[in-house]
Parts: sequence; C-alpha cells; structure tokens
Amino acid sequence: MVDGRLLDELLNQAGETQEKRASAARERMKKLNEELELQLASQEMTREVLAKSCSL
Amino acid sequence: MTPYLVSSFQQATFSALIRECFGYAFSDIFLKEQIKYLFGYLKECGCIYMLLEPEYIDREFLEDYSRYYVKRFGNDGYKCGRIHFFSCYIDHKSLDSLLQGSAVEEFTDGNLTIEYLQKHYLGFVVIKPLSRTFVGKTCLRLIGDSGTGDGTKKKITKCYKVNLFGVELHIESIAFQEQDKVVAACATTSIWTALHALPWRDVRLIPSCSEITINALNFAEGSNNGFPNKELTNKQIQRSLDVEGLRYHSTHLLTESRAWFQSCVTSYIDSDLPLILVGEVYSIHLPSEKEEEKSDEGCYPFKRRGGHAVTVLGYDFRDASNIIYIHDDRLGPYARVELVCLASHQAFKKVPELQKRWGLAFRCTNDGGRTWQSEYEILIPDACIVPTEKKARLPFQYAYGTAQAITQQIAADIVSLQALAVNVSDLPKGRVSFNIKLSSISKVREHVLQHKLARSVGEQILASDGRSLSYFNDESLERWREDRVRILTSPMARLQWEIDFICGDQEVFKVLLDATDIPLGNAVSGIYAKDPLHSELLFQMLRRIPNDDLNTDNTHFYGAFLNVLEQRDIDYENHLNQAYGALRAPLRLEESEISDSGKGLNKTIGHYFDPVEKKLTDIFPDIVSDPINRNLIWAIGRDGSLFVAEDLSEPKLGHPSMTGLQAARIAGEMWWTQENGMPIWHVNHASGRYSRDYVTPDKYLSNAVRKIASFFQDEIKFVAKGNSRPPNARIHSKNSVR
Repeated sequence: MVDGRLLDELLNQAGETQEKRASAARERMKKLNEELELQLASQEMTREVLAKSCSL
Repeated sequence: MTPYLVSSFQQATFSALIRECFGYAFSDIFLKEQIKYLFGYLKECGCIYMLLEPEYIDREFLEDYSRYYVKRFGNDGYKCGRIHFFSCYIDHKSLDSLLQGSAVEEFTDGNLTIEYLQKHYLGFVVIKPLSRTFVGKTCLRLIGDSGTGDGTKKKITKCYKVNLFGVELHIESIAFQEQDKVVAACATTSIWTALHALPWRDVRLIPSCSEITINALNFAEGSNNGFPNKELTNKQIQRSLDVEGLRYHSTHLLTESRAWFQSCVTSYIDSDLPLILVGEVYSIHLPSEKEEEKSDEGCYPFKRRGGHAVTVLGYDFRDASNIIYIHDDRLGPYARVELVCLASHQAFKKVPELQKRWGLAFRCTNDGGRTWQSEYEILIPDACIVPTEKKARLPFQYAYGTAQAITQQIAADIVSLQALAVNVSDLPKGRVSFNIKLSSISKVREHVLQHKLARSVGEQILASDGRSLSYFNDESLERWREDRVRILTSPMARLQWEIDFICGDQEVFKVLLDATDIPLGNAVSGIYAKDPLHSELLFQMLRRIPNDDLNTDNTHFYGAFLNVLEQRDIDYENHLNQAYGALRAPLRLEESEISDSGKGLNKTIGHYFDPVEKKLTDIFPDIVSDPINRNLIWAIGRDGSLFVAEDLSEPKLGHPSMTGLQAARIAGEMWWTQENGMPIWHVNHASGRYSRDYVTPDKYLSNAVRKIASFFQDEIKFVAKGNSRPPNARIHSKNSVR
C-alpha cells in the first residue's frame, strides 16, 4: 500500500511537480521510441549481410 | 587387436596416441592448432592420463562417410578412434581388473571403481580417419564452474552419456569438432555445435555436418557438386536452421553497441540458447620492440583473413570483464575471447569506419590462463543468428525495449526520491537494472514457487517526518498471495520472456511477456512482485505518469505493461478478492447436504444480487421469535452475490447446502439479539467450510456486513462479531462445523 499523496508531496519537494514529471516522462518515452525504432531498423538483415559467406 | 592403449598425458604422447589410430604424420598432428588448444585446455582441467579406444563407430562420421568419403579411392574406412581423458592415474592392470569384475568397492592401491573413474573423467575426442582434419566430436569437461547467469557468468552445457567398454560415464559439455573442409565449412560446424547446445534437442538426433550442409545448399538429390563445400552464406545458415524446424532470431550488428550485444548475449545464454556469430576475421601483426619504435604512431598492421562463424556458448561479465566463450572450429571448445572496442585499438584506431565498432579479441596463454598475451586476431561481427523454438516469435529486441522503457521511467523518480530525506534504509537502493531470459512457463512457475517472501507484515518505508510512504500490511500480504497464485495457475503461453527488475542488487519484480505474441499485440502476460513493498512504490510511480499514445509503440510493450498494472486495480474479480477474499471450495460436504442434481438442499435459502424491499426479520421471522436456538448462515458468492439461509442442524444443512456446493468467499453466521433493549443483528465469519484460512477475515467481514445491511430494509444495526458464535452454537457445540 502506497500513500500516493505523500509520494507526490515528496517528489514535489525534489522540484518535480506532477506536470513536470509527466512532461519529462513523455519526452523520455518519445526519445526512447525513436531510438528503438532506429535500432530495430538497423538490425534488419540486409541483402548484403545475408550474401556474406563464412569460409575460414 | 589391441583393445585399448593407456598413456600419460603430454603433448607428444597425445599426438602419438592420435597417430596410433591411422598412422598420420606426427608433425601434422603435433603442430596442429586444435591439438595445441586441446592439450592446453586438458592440462588446465588437470588431465594426467588418457586412454585410446582404437575402434569406435561415430554415427555422425558414418553419415558423412556414406555421403561422400565412401567413394574416395584412398579412404581410411569408416571407423574412428576415440581418446578419453582422466585426471587420475590409470593403467592397463587396474582397468583390466575393473573390466574383469575383480575390482574392489572403493579405490585403493590403484584398483579402479566406476565412481572413481567418473569423478576423474574429463571427456573424449573422436579421431576421424582424415589425414589433416581428424578432430571429430569432442566433449570436454568445463574449466571452472558453469556460473549462475543473470549477467554475471554462465556457460551452456548438456549431459553427454559415454559408454566406455560397458562402463557408463557422463560429461557436462557441448560437443565441438573441426571442419573437414569437404562436407563442412566453419559455418556448418558452428550450426552443428548450436544444434547440440539446444536444450530440448536429443544429441542422438542432431544431423551430421554433411546433412547440415545439404540442407543449407538446397541440395538437388543426386547432384555430385554439393561437396567439397568451402563456405556457407548467412542466408544458407538461416536456411539450414529452417530445415531443422527452428525459428531463428537474426540481428545485423553493424550499428550495435558493445553494451547492447552484452545484454543480448546474456539474455540468450541465460535462456540456454547459443548464438551463431558471423563476421570478418583480421589477423594483427604484433611488432617486435624495434619495429614498434619505427612504426607510424604505434599502429599495428592488420590483414583481412575472411568471413568466419563461431558459436557463442558462454560469457563472463563479472567485475567489468568482457569475456565470452565460443566454440571456434579453428581452436577448440569454450575458447575465451574478449569483447574490445576498436576505436582505441592499436590496429584499427586509424580506420574511420571501424571507430564505433567492437570485436572479439583472440589471445593466447602459456600458463594455463593466468596471463594472456596481446591479441593476434580480431573477429568483427556482422550479425548474430540465434536458433530458438518455433513458437518464440518475439525476438529479444522487444523484451529489451520493454525493459528499457520501464527502467527509464522508474529510474527518473527513484533518483529523485533517493536524493530526498526519506528513511534511506528502506528505500530501494542503487541503480535500476534488468535481466532478460526466454523461459518456459513451467520454469517461470518453478522460479516463482521457489521464491520466498522476505517481507513481513508491518514493514514500511518512512518519510523523514515519520509518515509512512509505503507499508506492507495484512491486506498487502493477502493481495500478494493472490497475485502469486494467479501467476502459478492462470493459463499462459509456453514460452515467456522473463524480465527481472533489480534495484542495486535486490530483485524487485518480474514482468512476463508472451513470446508467442505478435509485435503489435499486448504481450504482457503477468507481473510478479518479488519484493512487494518496493514493487508497489515503483508501480505507484509508474501509475502516476499518464498512459497516453506515446506509450503505444511498435518496439516495446510499455503500454501493455501499464494496462496490466491498471487491470490489477480495476478488475472486478480482483475487487471481489480484495473486498471479500479469494474463492474457497467447501472444505468438506456432509451427506445430508448433497442432492443428486448437485444443488443445495437447504430450502430456506435466499440468493440476492441487489438490495430488496424487505426486512431480514420479515424473511426469517422464526429466527427473531427463537433467537436462542435458531440462527442464519450467510456467504458471499463467486460473483459477489449474497446467500442467506437458516442454519439447520437436523439433518445437517450448513453453508454448502446454501451455496449449491460451489466455491464461495467469506461466509459465517448471523443471529438476532438485543442489547440494552435494542434489537441487533450480529454477524460472524465462523464458517469452517469457507472462511477457514484468510489472513484478513475481519476486513472481509466488515465489507460483507456493509453489503448485508445495504441489501435489507431492517432499521436495526448489523454488527461484525469476528469469530464469536451465536448462543445456539455456544450451548450445543463449541466446535461445530458450519
């Protein structure tokens, strides 16, 4: 069981109002989404990589 | 025929025993890289004696032989040799005694026992009848321990049974063999090793190298041109895995960081899944001291040697080490290589396109691994291909994305809190991190079942002014138990990505992703709080961040995770469990309570879903007229409805006769009485059939009393009486079962 009001109060003491936190969370998520999308795209096996051979 | 030969273990005797098999040139054997590696490996294992089985039929070589070598005019036959290694003294006399049945029970004065032999058994190498590429199936005991995983250290092993002249031995290893450059290239042996490492594959059903190559080549039956085969492309590697009925997770590693790859290796190895790593090998010319002085800014020359494939079977990331263990067919099993960044590397620091890349550095040791020389080769990976079960549709990336999204959101708030003057001894400490692995649901449930709750009722996180921020009370304990039972009993997909979240070094909670789901599905199948006090605080932080469109993404399941968190709170069944306790089946049934139709036999029953326009005293006037001898029984049903009936003792018609023998929630008795001349309904939770084992029965009773009072129009009070009994029960039987 968590006292939500006290949690907010403590986070506010740290200078993090609910609005600020929500906005920062949105920013973080947006950035992460972009990063992960780029990452997923770059991890796709390309035709060139598939054609590379292992011969040693 | 010599049945076997025994020799002490030295590099020369090892080579000599191999020569005994087919008489190949001693120098070809002695100077062979794989033999040097195997000698060093076995020496580190403590090998002191070895035994040659000169004639051994190896199933896999037999298949390769029948596919290709049989038509070689000068072939050396289909029989192999096999050398076994021991870390104890053995000789012909003691082994003969064992085989003749005259060995003693315990090892004394050179008399071998099977147990003693097993204890000192280090594995075997099959010697194939091929003059230059004779290292066949090799299973050697691990050096050191296999580790515990979870980002620290782990090596994959499997149990191989070995029959040595009727003596059953076993060895924990993963099979290795070198490529023969005819039916197998490096990629083939890499696939072969990976198939051996898959935990569910029977080693007797692993295809031979020639079959793997044929599968990869899309071989036309009857063609004479499939062999010799010198290489496989990455596409052919994938095709070969396809033919084996496996799903593969392929990742192009061109832009991936070393840290990401470490996470990837950790997750798959912890899942007991090997990784086939393909890339380019560069040899590095290490200059002598004189050359170094003359060299251009200390840059070492390097040379591209070609494409190569190895199988990753372990890692050691303890104490900031970056070691991975590979089966490399040019060396041997569990070769130790280091993940190094190329930007600062002496050979590559002036190659712009490699500045962000990393590679596997190959080094030698001459003193059993105590010191390692400078790297002589670097493998720069292009891609990794991980064979998994068919149903593992979601690759690691989605579990990683979800874990990252959750970690990022928690970390921001926890850092703020940690900086505050909250009672530091109770707040989650340290950095938030995660471990990911692909597990079967049965394994997940095993982990959950083995987990012991370290919290006890009353523990809390306090703010500096003494106010309680998070507390673990009876209700929390009841809820945690219900969550645990739900994880253990709810139907779930067989394969789950198991993500463990950790604060500092303490596991806080676990998220399960259905690995059979689609990338755009709601893959979160469960959340389990390992530390409910800290988990609830972290969940509360996440709940307070609005769950909007940004959380719905194609690369992770953070939105689905928040929905499950929300669902835990708003779910009606969860609400009923919270308010009136989880369902309980009747502890036992009396003969008199059961009808042929399965319906309850108590004719006085009233089943209420909503408030009624009647008073309870009018529905049951006999209870009011004879309050000493008569009382009611009640129960909250599966759907939150209310059952009320008269408690009839002759014949016995208790709670199950009222609920129709079905599972119900909190239940008890109700009796009419007067206090100071005022009529009053007393309600208890004393049903031995239903309410017997709740942790917080008084909370459920108080909710039930409120419900009962709201259903009837009686203008008198309903009072919760805990476990007190009505006068009738107190008089007749102190222990009567209701």
